[in-house]
Amino acid sequence: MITKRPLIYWVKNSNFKLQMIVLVVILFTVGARLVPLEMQKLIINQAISMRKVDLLVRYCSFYIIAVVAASLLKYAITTLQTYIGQEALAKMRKELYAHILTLPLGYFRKANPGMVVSSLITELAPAGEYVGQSIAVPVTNVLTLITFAGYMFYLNPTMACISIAMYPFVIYLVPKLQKKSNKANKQRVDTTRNLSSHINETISGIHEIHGNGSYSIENRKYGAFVDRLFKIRIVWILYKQGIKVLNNFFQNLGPFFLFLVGGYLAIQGKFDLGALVAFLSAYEKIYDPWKELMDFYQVHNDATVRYERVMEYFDVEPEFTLEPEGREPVKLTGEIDIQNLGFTVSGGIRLLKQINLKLKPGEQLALVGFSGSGKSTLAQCVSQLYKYTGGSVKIDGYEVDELTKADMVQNMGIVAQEPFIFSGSIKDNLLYSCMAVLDRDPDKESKMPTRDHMIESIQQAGIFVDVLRFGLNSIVDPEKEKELMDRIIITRESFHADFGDRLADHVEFYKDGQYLDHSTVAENIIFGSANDKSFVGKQLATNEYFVDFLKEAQLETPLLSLGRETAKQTVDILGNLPQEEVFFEQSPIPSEDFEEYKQLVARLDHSTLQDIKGKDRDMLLQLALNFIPGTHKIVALPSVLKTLILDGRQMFFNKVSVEKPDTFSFFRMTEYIPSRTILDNILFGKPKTDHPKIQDAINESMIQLLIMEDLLETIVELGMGFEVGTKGDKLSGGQKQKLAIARTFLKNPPIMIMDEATSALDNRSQNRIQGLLETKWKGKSTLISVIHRLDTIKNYDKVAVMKAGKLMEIGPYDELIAKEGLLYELIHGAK
Amino acid sequence: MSAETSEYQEHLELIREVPYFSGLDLEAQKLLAYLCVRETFAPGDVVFTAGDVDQSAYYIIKGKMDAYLDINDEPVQSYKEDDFVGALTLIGESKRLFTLKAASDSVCIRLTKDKFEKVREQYPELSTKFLKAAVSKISRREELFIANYDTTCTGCKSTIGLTLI
Repeated sequence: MITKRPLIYWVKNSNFKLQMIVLVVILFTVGARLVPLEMQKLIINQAISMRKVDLLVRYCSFYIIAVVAASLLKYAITTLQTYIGQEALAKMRKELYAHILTLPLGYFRKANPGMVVSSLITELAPAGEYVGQSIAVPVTNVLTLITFAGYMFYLNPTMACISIAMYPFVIYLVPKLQKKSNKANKQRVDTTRNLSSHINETISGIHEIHGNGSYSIENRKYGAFVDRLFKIRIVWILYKQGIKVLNNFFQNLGPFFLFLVGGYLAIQGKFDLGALVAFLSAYEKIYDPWKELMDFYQVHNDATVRYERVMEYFDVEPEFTLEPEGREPVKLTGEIDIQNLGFTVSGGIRLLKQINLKLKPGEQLALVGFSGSGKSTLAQCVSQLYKYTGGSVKIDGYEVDELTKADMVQNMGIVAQEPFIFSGSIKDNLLYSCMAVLDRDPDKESKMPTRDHMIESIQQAGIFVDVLRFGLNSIVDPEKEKELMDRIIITRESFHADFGDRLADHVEFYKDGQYLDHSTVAENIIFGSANDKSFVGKQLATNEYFVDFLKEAQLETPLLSLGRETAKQTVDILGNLPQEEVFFEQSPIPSEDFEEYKQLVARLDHSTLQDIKGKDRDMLLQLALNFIPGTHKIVALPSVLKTLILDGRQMFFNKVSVEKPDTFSFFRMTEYIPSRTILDNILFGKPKTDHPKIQDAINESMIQLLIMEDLLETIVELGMGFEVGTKGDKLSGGQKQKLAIARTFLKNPPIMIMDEATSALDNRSQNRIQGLLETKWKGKSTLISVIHRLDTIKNYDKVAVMKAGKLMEIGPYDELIAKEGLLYELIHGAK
Repeated sequence: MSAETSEYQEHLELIREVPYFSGLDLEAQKLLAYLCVRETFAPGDVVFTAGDVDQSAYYIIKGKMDAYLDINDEPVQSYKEDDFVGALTLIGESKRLFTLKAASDSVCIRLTKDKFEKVREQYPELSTKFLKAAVSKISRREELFIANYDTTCTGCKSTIGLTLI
């Protein structure tokens, strides 16, 4: 298991070939580093003292070649070690993540997601860095040290001894100081943590401080923390710097002895000047590798500590193996036999006690009971989400405990109580369960569900209309979908003939001479869409022709003012909120631009409209042009401005018809509007409200029309491409649950576990799904359904009533009711 | 710029008066006011039906609404301007027990549970304040019921004791 591996494992298992190349490069590097020293000696002793220019040039050339080569080689080493390190880090991250995903569910109830994130992202990084350095740095530097020391011995053994004499002191002292520095560092971390929680407390209680005028008390409390931190930091920094100073001091003592002894020997003529210079250089050069070794020592400390902490945190055994060994995953028929099942969690709490029940393949069981009675837990033990602690659960004679995950997912579909929808399209989520099973299958392409199957499953789960709606709300690419556009125009005609009057109250049709509250200000002015890219989207606010027109129509200033007001109000409300879909649905500022507008508002503070220039002006104008009074209720659009805009619309039409006749397509019944959604195109307008009853009426008319035009599947398919947002943010609770049901229906497994799967649905959808389970799946899939609301359980083959972890009674509904036992009490209340 | 008040500003003023929200920080009230949506209903329009899990609360700005039971056609309760209806569905998952219909042209603001929950995530104090207001409303209801308690009424026996749950 990955968490049991020591850090050194990653060094041993890092890219062996690259590590060998590094070693070879290191040998050359060390050699290249030695050449300049020898050259120095030769330059002084031979070239300069013998006054030979040709020798001088030759030695200097060798010198420069060696320096350049050493630098290049050093760069090569760094590149290689970075590659090795990052490769190891990527491997560590992937393997740890794979391990984390398999940890038992119980683990995640305690684990903090922030810790998982920081472990995978920041905490492991030094370990990767360490793996990269682990061979290159110590080998390079130790070799360099040895080589230089050897060279110094070769020059003069006595002096070499003198100069290395300092190092044992350093080696002895540095770890001691490091230990003290570590201790102070730990204290610093703790105190900083206390300090920040104290600041947090003060800020949240600020009204109390103002109310009591207790400024001095709070300053004193805070001061005490700061003073303590001050002392600790001083100690910490002193130790940290102390190490450097100590190291430096010993380093600088060297030349003192060298000059004293070497100078004396030179005066005596026992030592030549060149050798002395080379000696001094060698000594200086020893410092770099020495320092690198010390840094490496610190990286090693840091990486080991962090790596071990991460691994300790995740050191939990997975409960089940993922893949079976030496066989294919089993195929089950869904016969379930539970005997004496018990589940005890830490603290000796018994969630399930002595449960016995049997289900034949295709039988349907409703699990009911008081909340906390263990009905979900029982379903989760059967579906291998929890590992039961006593008794047995057998499916087709296989003990669930011994089956692998692959065996289970092949045969079982689970709809969780709060199903999770991942970011991606509806289709991705719909296929999620099937994909997981087929992932390793070589013919997965051919085994994937077809479009018709997918549509059938979303119909069964009751999310069809929602998906259709997503499809209707999508925008068609005018280049690719010529034919679709033509057919939508035909649909538009039938809509207006058949439904136009009936829905007139709820749809704002594109009618000339009328202000469109549900369209943007820009659309109200242009009353059409641009064919020229420079008049589209964000380009419009900076388009010179358009801005000049706004000035001419006296629209620029009121629009800027509208933009300013909108920006200010929106930032005031949404300023400190996370960028979640719900908050930005009604926001005039799209979430991706929000930061920019926040800064803009801070800049605007007191400046007048005339002062606002350049990009700020463009941004405000753009905001105003995208303002939709029917959706953006933060600011009211003054009726004067509406009148001005309507005048502007006429002016714009007249102007453009003459000057740029082909640049715009104006709203006309006979033309497709490429910038609008399919729905808007069919309606030739916009729905005024998103109230469910009105939406239902519109949807109904759309379904009829689309069936007539044979477009229904096409639009639904577009809807399946809808991106659901992180955690399915853009879907409602009910939609998420229906999608989860649809993906299980699509998988069509022999065993289905539904854990209050319809709790967020209205009665109608709930009854429909119940009806389907009874007609389509009875006898085909074994079903265990945990049910909270009791009006749907009558037609289950068996009803099991649980209380306090025990199975109190089990049998067909009528039998239990006739008995007037617990089920009777649950439905009719205690007697 | 605007001499005209925006819907948001109107909502904010109303929200600040609703007992469930009146004790909150202004920032939380602003967010709630911003997330509310205005709906209009014609006489006879159904706002919600018994059995629905529509999870929305309505504040009536204008008009009159009646609540019906499935069993008969007589309204059992009426709501008028400035009433806040259906707040309990913002927490929990219970279905509607009544059908609410507009009795006249009505305008109301609607707050959905999804949005309410997002605000609760941002301003956790909303939970406690909301629950406190709900409990005190329920208590007041039962106090009134006890004050007018008719010992001869047989049907009342099974309903009394709501605050003892």
